[in-house]
Amino acid sequence: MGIQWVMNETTQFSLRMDPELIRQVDEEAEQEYKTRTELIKEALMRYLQEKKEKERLKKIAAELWLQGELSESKLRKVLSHEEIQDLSFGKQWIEDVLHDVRR
Amino acid sequence: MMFVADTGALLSLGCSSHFQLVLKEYTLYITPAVEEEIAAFASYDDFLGLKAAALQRISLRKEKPKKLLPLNLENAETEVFSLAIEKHCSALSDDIHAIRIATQKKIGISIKPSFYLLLLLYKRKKITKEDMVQDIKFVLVHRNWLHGALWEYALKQIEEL
Repeated sequence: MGIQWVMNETTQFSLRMDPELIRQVDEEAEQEYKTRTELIKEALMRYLQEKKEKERLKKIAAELWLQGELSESKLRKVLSHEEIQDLSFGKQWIEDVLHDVRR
Repeated sequence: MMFVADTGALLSLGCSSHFQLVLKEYTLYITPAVEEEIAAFASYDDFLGLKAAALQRISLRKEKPKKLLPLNLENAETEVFSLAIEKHCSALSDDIHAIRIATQKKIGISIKPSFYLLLLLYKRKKITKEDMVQDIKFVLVHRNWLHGALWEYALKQIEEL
């Protein structure tokens, strides 16, 4: 089943969801006196805000590590192994690029 | 001097106030997959969407690599790195993860960040240090956490150049 989603501004798109999930959304919306669209929009916004907040914390941890003010063991509490590998590689890569430019 | 650029690098350079100068001084190649990604970005009516739409109006040189390297990366990155190898030039990318994977494969590829071209313009005295720093700061606003942290790290060192 598809639903039409009208955004506040100008973009409209259709969204496909399982009937069971739509039923749960509708039940939740009814309990909260909201429309289906309002509920999905709020949930999505909350998800994006939480993700943004997590990324903000990751960025702070990464910056502190890059400045030598956070140990790798503490960095591991915030970043995944793969993310630490990328960050560590990125630091060396940037230093190499800048060294290349300085020559 | 020529480079093969991926979508992220092009969008970053597209945010630069010296993008026209970059295009005048350097030859930028894209690949069919990069062109598709730019078109996908351009379908959104937001800041990056508008930048992508502006990129579509520029006649960038498009070429498909004859052979794709087995990099296990997304299509666009694989095409960009493969074409850079074939053309014996550097690739431009800001995708740290893809760059790490490609570098670890030891395929002998040279990959530079998008701001490298601004650094070259500065080194060649085509733009001032203030212009370069201002451009990089503007690009930083639209970077995710990893690139944001790394680019700020780079910016601090660039300011000391």
